[in-house]
Amino acid sequence: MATETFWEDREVRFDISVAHLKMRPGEKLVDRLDAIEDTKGNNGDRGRLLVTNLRLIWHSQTMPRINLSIGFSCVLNISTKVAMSKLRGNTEALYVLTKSGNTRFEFIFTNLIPGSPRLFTTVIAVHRAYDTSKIYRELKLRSALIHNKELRLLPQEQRYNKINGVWNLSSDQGNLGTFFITNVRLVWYANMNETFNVSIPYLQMKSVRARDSKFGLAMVVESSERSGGYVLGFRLDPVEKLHEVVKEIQSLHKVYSACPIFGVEFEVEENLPAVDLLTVEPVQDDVEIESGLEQSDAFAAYFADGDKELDRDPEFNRELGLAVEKLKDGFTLSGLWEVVQ
Amino acid sequence: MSLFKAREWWSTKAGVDEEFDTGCLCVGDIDNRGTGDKIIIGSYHGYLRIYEPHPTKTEDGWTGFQAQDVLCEMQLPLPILQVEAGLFVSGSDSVHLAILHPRKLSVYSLLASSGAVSYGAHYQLKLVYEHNLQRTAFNFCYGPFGGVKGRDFLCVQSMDGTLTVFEQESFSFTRFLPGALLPGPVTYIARTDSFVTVSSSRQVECYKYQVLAVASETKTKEESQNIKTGKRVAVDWTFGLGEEAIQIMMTTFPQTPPSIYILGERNIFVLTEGGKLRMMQKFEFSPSCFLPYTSVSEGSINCLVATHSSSLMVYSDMTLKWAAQLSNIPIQLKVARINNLDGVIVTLDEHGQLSCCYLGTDPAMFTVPSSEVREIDYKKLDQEMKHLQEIIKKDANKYSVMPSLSKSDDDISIHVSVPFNLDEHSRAAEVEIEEEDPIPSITVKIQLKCKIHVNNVRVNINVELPLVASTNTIKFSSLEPGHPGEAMVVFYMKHTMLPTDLKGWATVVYENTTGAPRVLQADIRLPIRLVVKPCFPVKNANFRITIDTNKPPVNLNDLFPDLLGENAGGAGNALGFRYYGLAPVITVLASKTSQRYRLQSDEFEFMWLVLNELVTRLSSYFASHKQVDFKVSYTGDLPLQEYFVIIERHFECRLTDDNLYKLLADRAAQFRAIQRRLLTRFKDKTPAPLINLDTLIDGTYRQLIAMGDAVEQNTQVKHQMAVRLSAATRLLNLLIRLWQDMSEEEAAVLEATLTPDITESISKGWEETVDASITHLLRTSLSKSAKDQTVNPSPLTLLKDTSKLKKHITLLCDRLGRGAHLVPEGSAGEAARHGETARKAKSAIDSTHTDLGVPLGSKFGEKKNRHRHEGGDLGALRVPTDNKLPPLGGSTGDMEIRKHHTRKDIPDLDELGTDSQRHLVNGSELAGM
Repeated sequence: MATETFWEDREVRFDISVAHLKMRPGEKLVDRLDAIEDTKGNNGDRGRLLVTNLRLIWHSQTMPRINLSIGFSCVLNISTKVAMSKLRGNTEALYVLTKSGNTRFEFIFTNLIPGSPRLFTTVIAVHRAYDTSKIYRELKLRSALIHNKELRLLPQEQRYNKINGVWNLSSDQGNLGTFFITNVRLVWYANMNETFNVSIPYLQMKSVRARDSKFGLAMVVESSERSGGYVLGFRLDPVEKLHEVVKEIQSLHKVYSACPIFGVEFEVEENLPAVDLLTVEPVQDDVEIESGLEQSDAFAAYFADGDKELDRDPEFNRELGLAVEKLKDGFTLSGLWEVVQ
Repeated sequence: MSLFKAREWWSTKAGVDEEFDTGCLCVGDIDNRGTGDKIIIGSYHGYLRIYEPHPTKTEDGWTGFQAQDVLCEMQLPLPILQVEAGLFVSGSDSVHLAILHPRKLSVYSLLASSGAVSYGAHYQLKLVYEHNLQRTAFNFCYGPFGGVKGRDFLCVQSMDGTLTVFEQESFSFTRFLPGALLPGPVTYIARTDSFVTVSSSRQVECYKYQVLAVASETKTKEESQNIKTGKRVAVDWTFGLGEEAIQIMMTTFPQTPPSIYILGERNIFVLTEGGKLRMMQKFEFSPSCFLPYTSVSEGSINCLVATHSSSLMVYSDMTLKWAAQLSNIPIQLKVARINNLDGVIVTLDEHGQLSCCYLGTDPAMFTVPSSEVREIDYKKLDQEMKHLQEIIKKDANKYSVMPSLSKSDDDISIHVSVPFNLDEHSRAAEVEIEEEDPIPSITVKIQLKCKIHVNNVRVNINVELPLVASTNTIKFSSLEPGHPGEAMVVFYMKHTMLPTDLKGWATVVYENTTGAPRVLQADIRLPIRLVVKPCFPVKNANFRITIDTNKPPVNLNDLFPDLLGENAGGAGNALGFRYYGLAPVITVLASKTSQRYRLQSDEFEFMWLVLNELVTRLSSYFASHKQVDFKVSYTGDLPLQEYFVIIERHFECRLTDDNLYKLLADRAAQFRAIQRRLLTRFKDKTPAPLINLDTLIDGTYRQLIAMGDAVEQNTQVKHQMAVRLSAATRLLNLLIRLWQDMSEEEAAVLEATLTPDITESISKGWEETVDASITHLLRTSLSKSAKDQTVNPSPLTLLKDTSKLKKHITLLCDRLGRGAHLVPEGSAGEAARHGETARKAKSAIDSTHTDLGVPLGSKFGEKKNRHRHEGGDLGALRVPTDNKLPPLGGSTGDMEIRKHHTRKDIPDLDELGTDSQRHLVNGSELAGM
């Protein structure tokens, strides 16, 4: 399903195939910088950085198969520091700290054109725009969505419909509430309690259908695994109305899954050439590794935290009175600390 | 940087563009369901959020934040300053939430309705009560004030430092804290029933609740909250911290003494309830927040401290037990039981990053592997390397280590032109001389020519008193080759004082293109007419000096055509001169028959300038008449007695000076002693008579002033005497030179020994310096036998009397009269001169050797036209010794550099014959000291 293959902003990938480098629907190119060095992994190599509304893409100019794709959702922190570049010497560089899965990666990019702050400004601005527009893309429960019985609309959002008398079937007695259907999401809230609400962007909908339940025929919305895999049941009377609403939501889901509104707003300073002109020219290397999703070992260079794959579980430690990562057999906390001291 | 990291178990970013600070985070079982702690955060933007983290383990690690972990999110219309969970509602033993807004304190209860699934549960915040505040709030604390059981009362501190107490739903009282300026953190101590805060005077202050409560007068709530004045509340105890506090916490863990924990900006303090210091620790970092959280062993308290360098320290009492790196800088810390795990560290940073962490136990040993090197074209790199090395080689040959110092390398040349005529209209200003005629002045043109563009050129003009120059410093911001810098400087006599030297210097200081500072100097020879005017000759005078020549006498009218004045048209065998402002007349007489000239004057030292001028003019007169073998000589007795009188007078001045200073010190000591006595009398609580101490201090004060005046006066006299002594010394030196027909070299030695430079300082005076130099000469080059040649320097202290000095001067003249030479005979050449130097000043030579080791760069600023080194710097001696002596442990490379340098120095030295001679004697002087 379309939503499940949607990974661009949520993962850090290395040396991906040309097909994956292409923009997905709804993804837009914000800026293209031609002389950027990946100071950490490919020091001394001139490359191109593409900033989209979902991710950063860097690829080597000489060998496009050497590339990085960094989803903005993985980014923990962006800062500028001085780094040592083979092409520029000591220079201010962009540090991007990310966490993909349980691994932290650190990336350092250096602009090879001296005195140009464009690298820093664009990346930081777009990441900020991404970070502040999460509600477009994430399922929200019990958040401050409703004010005075009205939905607080997002900047790019349009309200299509408001349906009263929708029962949420999450508790035994049910809660009477209201639907808001917009171009971005479906929102329900309880008439009695504004803080009891749910906001499901179409991006996070796995399916919408009418189904039988112990409460009778109900509309069931399933959310994606990533958002928690919730199953939400709603009942509307009469049944015709229910079918009508289901149909409306289904069609909106279809349309907006194909061309989602990510909500990442930015101003493009220059007129950039059309996207297809910018995508990586499929220069064929001597050997093209078509490994699909399989990752190469290029990521080793970017580890921020060492190759620690998985943190061990926390447990309560009496010695400190705090939660501590389970110790390896034969180690004690004080022993470890004394070694350090 | 810590070796360990804090592991993130669950985290979320709360809000967009929202701000948080201390007080915005609290944990507690706010929904009273007994399912562990919930995290409550309130932002300055009015958002209240309650989270219940449910990290669950899956195949790829912990799930982290999920949508259902939010229990409630609500926007309140006011900023939230602080949130706390406690028993705030009467008749209820469930936990409620207190929220502090700037002008409102509200208490809410969280009502939960469970659903069929966890995400179906919903929560509602219900306002229980609220208090409007009259003053802008800063923070609040809560507790069972007054020992109430099972209830928490609230105490709000406002921005102006008043405490307002609410007994849950009802207002209790408002009280001013004495001396409050700015509010600080506040907490409640249950055991002593008191409040502790850190005031803006940087001290911990403790107030009893009872004391605060009793001081109240019952009024209506509004009135009472509105108080502008209040009774002074007595403080229970205070403790000086000396710094601002960030947080205060009270600990009451079982089996540990109750303690007040205070986090300062650089220290952590632990006080007892009574305000005594239990422990403190100075940090080497800047802490952001802290939390004493538990006691794991009897008697000790564990405390977390977070720093601005994003690390987290775990202390047990004051011992560091653990440290971990955090991913952000927390503004508040909590330890909570979350999802059935105890001891989870909850941190909140100022941007709303909320994390639940545990301490990682894997040390971070990881280093980033170096990136693989791709396709290096070794051939190309080799070529580039070769090319670069060639360039380096080429350039390395081009430049020598030493910048060349030859004269032709100077970017600037200086030309001084002194006109023959004095200024037609005198340009002398602020003259202090009483004289009928105007004091003449002369305008000297100083020209700077440069080869290349030079920036920031400075010219300093020096001239000896009583002559002055119209300006002392001339600055040229830039000089171009086509436009020479020009300056006109006016010289004139300003003070009523005997002139001793008519020479001035113009010194040019600039930086050449390589940035090395360069110095050039030129002499300015001023005409004698500037200080002397003609007058009628006088027949009889106290002192006479007669000099002989080997040529027929010259008509004085021809010799002094410019200084005839009223004598013009005379016979030309007698001329009179007088210094401006000074009465004694110097008469010059030329014998008609013999080849003699006589000078006479009432003052011995006044004859110096005129005699010098006469000798100079005679020499140049005969030189211009192509008569080469002209010679001036002095055959009479040396006027030593006259000279000694002047020395005596100068020395007396010095002795008086010394005495006066001693007296002054004496009186000052006396003054201080009286002051001390008076002070003790005035300080005494029982008044006592002053026993005339006031009269005494008055008298001493007047004496002090009188002494000061006397010192001042004597200094002026001493200065005058110094000038006279200088003139007399110059005169004597000139006479000795003529008497013995000395070479320039010898004259320079003499000049350096019997120096006319009268420098007066407290530690060293002219008499002892000259005595030491003459003693040295007598023991070395003028010694009669080898036995005398022991160099035994005596300390330079003020002489008791001048008899020894006089004896030495007489002895010096005596030895010279017997044919002794200051410079050994037949040693005309440089080598011999320096050979002697080597013998004379062994220590000086040693210093010369060590001087070789001095980096060449240190000579960049060396003066070139004129070396006026002082003391042990025998720069001018360096060259010949260089040539003779093997290098001291230097490599051949060093040798080469030195030779290089030597060659460049030689031309300078030739010009410097006399000067280097001076150094030589300076050197021997030094050795003799």
